[in-house]
This record gives sequence, C-alpha cells and structure tokens, in this order.
Amino acid sequence: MPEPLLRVRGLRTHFALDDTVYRAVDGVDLDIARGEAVGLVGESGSGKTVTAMSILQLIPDPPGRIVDGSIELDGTDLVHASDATLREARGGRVACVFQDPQTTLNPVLRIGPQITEMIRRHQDLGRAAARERARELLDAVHIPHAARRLDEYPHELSGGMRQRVVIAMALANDPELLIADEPTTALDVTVQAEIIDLLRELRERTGMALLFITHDFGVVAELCDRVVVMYAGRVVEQARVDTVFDAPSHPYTRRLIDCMPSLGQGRRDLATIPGVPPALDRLPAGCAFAERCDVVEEACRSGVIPLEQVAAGHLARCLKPGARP
Amino acid sequence: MRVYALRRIVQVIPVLFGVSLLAFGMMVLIPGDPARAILGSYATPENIATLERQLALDRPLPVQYVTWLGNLLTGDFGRSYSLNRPVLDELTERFAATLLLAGAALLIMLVLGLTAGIIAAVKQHRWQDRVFTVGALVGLSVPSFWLAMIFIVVFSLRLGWFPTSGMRPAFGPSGPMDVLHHLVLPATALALVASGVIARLTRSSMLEVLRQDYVRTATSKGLTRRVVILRHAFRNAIVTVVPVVGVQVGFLLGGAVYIETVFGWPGIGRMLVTAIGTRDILLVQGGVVLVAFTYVLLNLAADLVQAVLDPRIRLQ
Repeated sequence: MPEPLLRVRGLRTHFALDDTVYRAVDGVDLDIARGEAVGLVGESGSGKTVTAMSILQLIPDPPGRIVDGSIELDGTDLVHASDATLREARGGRVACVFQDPQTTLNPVLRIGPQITEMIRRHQDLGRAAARERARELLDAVHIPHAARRLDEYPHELSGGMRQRVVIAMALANDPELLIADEPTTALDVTVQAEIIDLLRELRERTGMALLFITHDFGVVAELCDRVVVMYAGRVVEQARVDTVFDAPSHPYTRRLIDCMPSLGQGRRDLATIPGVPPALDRLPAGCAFAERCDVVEEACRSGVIPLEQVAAGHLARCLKPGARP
Repeated sequence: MRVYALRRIVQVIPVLFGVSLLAFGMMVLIPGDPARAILGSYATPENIATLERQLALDRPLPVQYVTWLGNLLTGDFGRSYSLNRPVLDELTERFAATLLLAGAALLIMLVLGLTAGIIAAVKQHRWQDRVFTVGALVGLSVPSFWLAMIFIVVFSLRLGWFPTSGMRPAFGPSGPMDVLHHLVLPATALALVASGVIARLTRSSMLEVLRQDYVRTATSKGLTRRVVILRHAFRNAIVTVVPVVGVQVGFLLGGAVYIETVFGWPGIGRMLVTAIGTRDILLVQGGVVLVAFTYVLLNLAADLVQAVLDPRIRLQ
C-alpha cells in the first residue's frame, strides 16, 4: 500500500473542564490516501468533529488538547509542528469547510477580501490577480454574477450561496485534502443535494482527497469511497462503503444504517437506537456501545475490545462481528 | 448607508431642540435673580426692574426662549455681563482648551482601553488578564478628581516632572511643547478612569467574538494569530465598543469640569462653574448648549462609525 496522504495514529484529544476530563477522542487511527474520499460517521458527540479539527489543531485550547498520538501529513508530523509549519498546512495543503455557513464567514468583511486573503497568504499574487482568481473560484462553484458577489457581505447571500463561497475559499490553494465538517447539515434539503453534487464534481476535477464528516449514511454512499464509523471517541468500524452497506460488522453501524429512510419500503416507522452514548468522562470498561447493543453478552463489558480485521480492508471493534439478534 | 445616515441625522434634530429647552429652563428654574446678582445686594427695586427690562427678563418665558433660540441659530450668543465680551468669543476660546484636553484623554483612553481589553481577552485566565481586569476595576472605582490630586502630589510636587497648573489659553504664544507639558497630567487623570470601562467592554466583546466560527475559519486559512485577532476578531468586537466610546466622550466632557478645576485648566468646565456662581445666564446657557450639542453630535458620529464597521446595522 502506498504511503497515505494523511496518517493519524493513536490520536487522543481530551477536554478538561472544571477538573473533569472528557475523552472526546480516545485513540483514533485514520488513513486517507491521495484522492480518496473518506466518510467519518457517528452521532453527535462521537468525536468525529474533534478528530477532524485536531488535524489542523483547530480545537479551542483551553479546554481542548491533543494529549497523545501523531498526525502525519505526507510524512510531516503536525502535532509537534512549529506554528509556521502548521500555518503552511492550514489553508494550503489542507482546507476546511465547516458546518454552518451563517457563522463561518466574517460578517463585517466583504466576500472578496475573505477569499483573497486566503489566496495571498499562500500564493505570491498581487491584489488584482488575487481578485481575479477569487472570481474564477466563485465561477467554479457556480455562483452567478461572481464579480459582483465579491463586493457583497455574507448577509447578502443565501445559506447555500454562502456555503459555496466557503467551498470556493477552501479550494483557493488547490488543497490536497479537504476536510468538510457536516457542510450540508445547516442547509435546506434541496440545497444539500446541490452542495453534495458540487463537492463530487470538484473532487472529480481536482483529484483532492476528502474527509467528509456526517451522521448521514445516505450522503456517505453518494460521495465516499471508504467509511469510518466512530462511537464515544473511538473508531468502531471501517471499510469500503459498499462493504459497510452489504455487511456491517459492528451492531452500531448496522443500526445506524437501519435508521436511514429509503424509498420503496412502504410505510414504516423509522428505526431509532434506544439509549444515549456514554458520558465521555465516565467511559465504561469494555465496549462503549454495550448498553445499547442488541447482541451484547457478558464478555463485552470488560477489558479492552480491540479493533480487528474481519476481512481485507474491513475492521471492526466487536467481539461478535456481524452478529444479528 | 446614505439612507441610514440621513435617518439618524434627522432623529438628532428633536434631541438638539430638547437640549436647548433644558439649557434655557435650567437657569430660569434655579433660585437666584440675575439682575440682583449683577447689581449687588444694595440695589433698589427700581434699578433691578430697569435692568430686567434691559435684559428682556420681564418678558414672558416663551418669548424669551424663542428670542434666545433665534439668536443662537443666527450665531448670536449674546454678551456676557460678567466678562463684558461676546459669549461666543469666550466659548470658542474655552471650548478649544476643553476639546484639547478631552481629545487627548480620548486618545489615551482608546489606546489604553482597547489594548488592555484585547490582551486580557487573548490571555484569558492568565496573569495578564488578572492584572488588566483588576486595573480596570480600580480605574473604574476611582473618582477622576481624586486621581488628579494624587497626580499633582506625586508627579508635580514630589517629582516635579509636570506643572500643577498654569495652562495658558490653548494655541497661545507659549508653543506646542508647553501645551503638551501641561496636558499630560490632566489628560491622563481624565483618561485612566474612562479607559477602565472601555477595557472591560473590549475584553468581554473580544471573548464573545473569539468563540465565533469565523475566527476558527480565519485560523484555518493559515493566517497568523495576530491577523486573526486584529483583522477578524477585533474588527467584529469593536462594533459593540464604538457606541460606548460615544457615551464615554460625554463622561470625558463632564469629567473635564472637575479636572479643569483641579488643574486650573482654562476650559469650558471651569468657565461654567464660575459663570453659574455669578449668575451669568447667557454664558451658562451658551456653554451648556455647546457641550450638549457636542455630546449629541459625537454620539451621532459613533453611531455612523458603527454602521460603517458593521453593514448589518444599516439594515435595521
């Protein structure tokens, strides 16, 4: 296997609040190959966003801190990198698109300068050239009247348009990896589909790798090559997308997929997973999902359950992979 | 923006009108008879009545007000009897001195308050934050005239670095260095107290803004911490600080009354204190109107600056 673009090993990101330590990410391994699209899936609080934000150290510190592990971008360690190295990676080789376009753009600055400052930070371009490049970027994400938009403020654009601006900005320096943290969650359903289409189109055109964070398996199926499922700060399953849909190994993954609504199934109540994830400051021994699992047995509640290979390229953290009730 | 500015300017007109009414009413309502004050306690009733007729004080109040306001609008502030010179000349000269003092204090207040607020927010919970927070609280709690006297004791009498008083009319023949030398203590005493408010507000506003998603976006672009803090965070935080700066200018103009008295500064504050004592009605009314107008206009300016800084405000 060729050297991956991004290699995360044993990442632990903890949050210390009022003497309590929340183990938001607790030993995550993650590889992303060049040009590969990886979906990072899990419920709210499973640690998927914290994992992704740890890559560029965008965790608010304090209270968050990477306490252990390594994050290598093309062989360069980012965890212990100097500020300068980190800033080169941020917005250069790795760019981010965040969840809520209402709040991710600076409300008091015009669109143009927000994009050009990203360009000029990483490329040696003059004012006019950067502005021209910004206009091209807005064209590339299909924003009509791009030249005019550059002089508008974020509040003058719709949510979908704003997210396109954020994506255009992220593409400014031809990143090798795009981290998209639930980029469609805050948008209308029809707009969501447009943004997904746009991301797929851009990926085909630029060949950049994608780390796509979502709780929606449907989007993963449309956009990703591989999926990594997280629960309570750990990876519980990873495999190719088709494998996960055909034969999920971890009960949590199976039940997440059951939660997806689909056409042609007639009327049925949408499945839910009863219970809530465990508190991150009091993780139980054994499997963190045991309390909510429908195939749990005594052995699941003690020791450390390892992430083991169930088939080639398919890992699961379960003592009874593939078991059904 | 033009529509917003026009609307705000129109809104100011009734306020200015109210200010003139208050300034006029104030001197009518407070006890003390100007004619008697001018002529002294041995004046005969006939003399007083004659003087009142000359000063038009025997006319009905609304007529007096309209006449006075009409004169003001044409730039005629009347004549000060105690100084025996046009009120406008006296006001111009005194107001220049006050503006110099308040302007210098404003500058010091902004530099100190904003810097302290930004540093305290960026270094939240660390020693810099504690020092500035306690400092701001002390600054807030100390009366400026007391601080002014301490300054005189320490820096003028003990150390002899700065003069205690003796400021000549601003822009006079003594030269700018002399003016600056006289300016340091009163301006600093005036500014220290006011900058506490600005520092606290800037700190809380910055803390709020630093949590926002767009600050994370800015960091994710690879910008330096300095650019993130100044261009992205501070640029947003200042929007809530600007209107309070407008209010603080009122405090600086008002505080100038004490400071001018303590330092013997030839400004409008000290002039007003004297003029009230001598019942020099026209001088007091003119002075109050001038200070109040300045305050209202500076607040208008603050509102307009705020709208320039934050485009969303123009929509409201």
